[in-house]
Amino acid sequence: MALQAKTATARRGNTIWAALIPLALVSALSGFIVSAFYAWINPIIETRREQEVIEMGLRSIFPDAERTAKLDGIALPQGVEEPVYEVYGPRNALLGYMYYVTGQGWSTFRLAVGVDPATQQIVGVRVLEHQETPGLGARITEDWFLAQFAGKALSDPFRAGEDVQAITGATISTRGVSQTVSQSARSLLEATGVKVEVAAADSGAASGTAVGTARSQGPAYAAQIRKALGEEVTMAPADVWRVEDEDGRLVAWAVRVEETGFGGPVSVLTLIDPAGATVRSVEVLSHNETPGLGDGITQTHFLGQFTGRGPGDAFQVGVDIDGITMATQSSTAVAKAVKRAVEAVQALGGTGGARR
Amino acid sequence: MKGRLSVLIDDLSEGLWKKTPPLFTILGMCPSLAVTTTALYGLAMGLSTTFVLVGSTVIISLFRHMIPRQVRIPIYAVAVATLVTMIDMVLEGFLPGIHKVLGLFIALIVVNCVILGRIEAFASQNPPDRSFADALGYGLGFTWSLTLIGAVRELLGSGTVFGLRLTPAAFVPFSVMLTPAGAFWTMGALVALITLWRQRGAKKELRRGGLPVGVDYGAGTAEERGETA
Repeated sequence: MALQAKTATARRGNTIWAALIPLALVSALSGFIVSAFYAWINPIIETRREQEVIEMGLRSIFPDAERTAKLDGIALPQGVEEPVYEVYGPRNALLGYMYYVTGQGWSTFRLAVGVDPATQQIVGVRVLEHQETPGLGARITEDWFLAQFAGKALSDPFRAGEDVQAITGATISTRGVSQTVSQSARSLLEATGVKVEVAAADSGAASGTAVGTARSQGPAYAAQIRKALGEEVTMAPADVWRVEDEDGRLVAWAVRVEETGFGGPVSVLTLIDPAGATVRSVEVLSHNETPGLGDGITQTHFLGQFTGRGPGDAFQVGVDIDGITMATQSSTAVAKAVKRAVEAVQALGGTGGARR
Repeated sequence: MKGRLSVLIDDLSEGLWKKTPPLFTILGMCPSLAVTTTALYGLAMGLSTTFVLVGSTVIISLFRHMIPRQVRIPIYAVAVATLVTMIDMVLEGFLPGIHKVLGLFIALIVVNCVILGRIEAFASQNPPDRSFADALGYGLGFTWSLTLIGAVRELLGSGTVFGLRLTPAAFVPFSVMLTPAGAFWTMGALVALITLWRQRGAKKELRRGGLPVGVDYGAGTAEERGETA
């Protein structure tokens, strides 16, 4: 009996090996075949991708392009890939920058974007790859949709259904593309030191306010702001803009403050009305928060709730600001940044004498 | 004893027009509903699936005596996944336009139940030539079904078929046909039409006394369809 039991066990052991060894062999063989095949076809795919990049980007966005150069030494905005190209046309004129950016709509997509720093306009947008639903979100590749970005001023709001015509049944994809384009282009130009006309980013279109050139007045106010915000605040020369219209009248203050979120620094740009130092709009320029959680701070429904708040408000998540669910730390970082921006303007006496 | 050729033709015709998925037997629904927004996408998806189906069934059939029963399903899955990875890379390298659209759904061929079904029900028990004929029949049957669904949805949803405009300019496309709901409606209508047509055919045969009574020429039972899962 004991002997029988032993052989039964041994046989069972054998059958396990008899099953496992072929499986292991097949898996190894499969791995080998796939890697060999990959080694053969990958150069073809890569070449094709590079061609696509050149054709899609240069030839279609910048038809006059003659040569490109890599733009080095700038902080890349979120989602933007290295390298960013400077595109030159005839007589070595800079036609604009071209870059590739990954964004999130219904699913992810990758765009080629051309932007002209001189006119502060989008030159053109092309979709390189995407995983959107065929027939719905996949229509972001259609010409009529992408054409509306060509020549579009960065000061426009880029809102789906308002100044960006939305794709029927694909509002999320539409919003994803327009937000990715506008935010990456604004941040990129800012990173290169170009003064973006941020004030118009959310100016009351109804009143048709003429918002003129924004002039960087950072260094002049540095000491005052540092006092108001505290020493730990990052202070670049361009952290505060005095936004003026054509006649030099103060239209708004634009303040950039960096706070620490969950995943690292969160750079927040706040536009503040001179009258009463109330918040006109808030934008997250760059962040490194968790996708699906902390990155909710870029959503309009979150940022929108700051509008209209001023020095009398607490700017505290859970008190007067609704935080992003499961991302209190990220939400708090934005709220703090906005509070500091308001305090900075107050410290400047920047209400332009119109303090209530 | 039937000749080898007629056996092969029988094997081929089974999938091609007798038990064609997804229209005759409701198998492989995921890609059938997801990518058939145009006839071209249906065709491309069908042909990719055919390649994987034929390749994997022939390979499994060749080695059918060496595959241990206990681990046969993982081995099938590995074989199918290998071919899917290859077709995915080929499409990306040579047909980027198609790859861009089908994207994720190419990878999902791995879990296409038509493929695992034909391997388990046929290729694991039959020689390579018969498995090849069977897989080719099912693959091409799947291809024309998807192309047909795609053509109907494209015609109603966009007013074109294979990108050619077939409707008058005044025609307003029903965008809903491009959504999953439109896919279900198209499938349902086509399945109903086919069932009706086959029942008529069966009745005619009956009157001529050609077929035995009591055979359901509708979708049939799960076993008749060779379903395993």
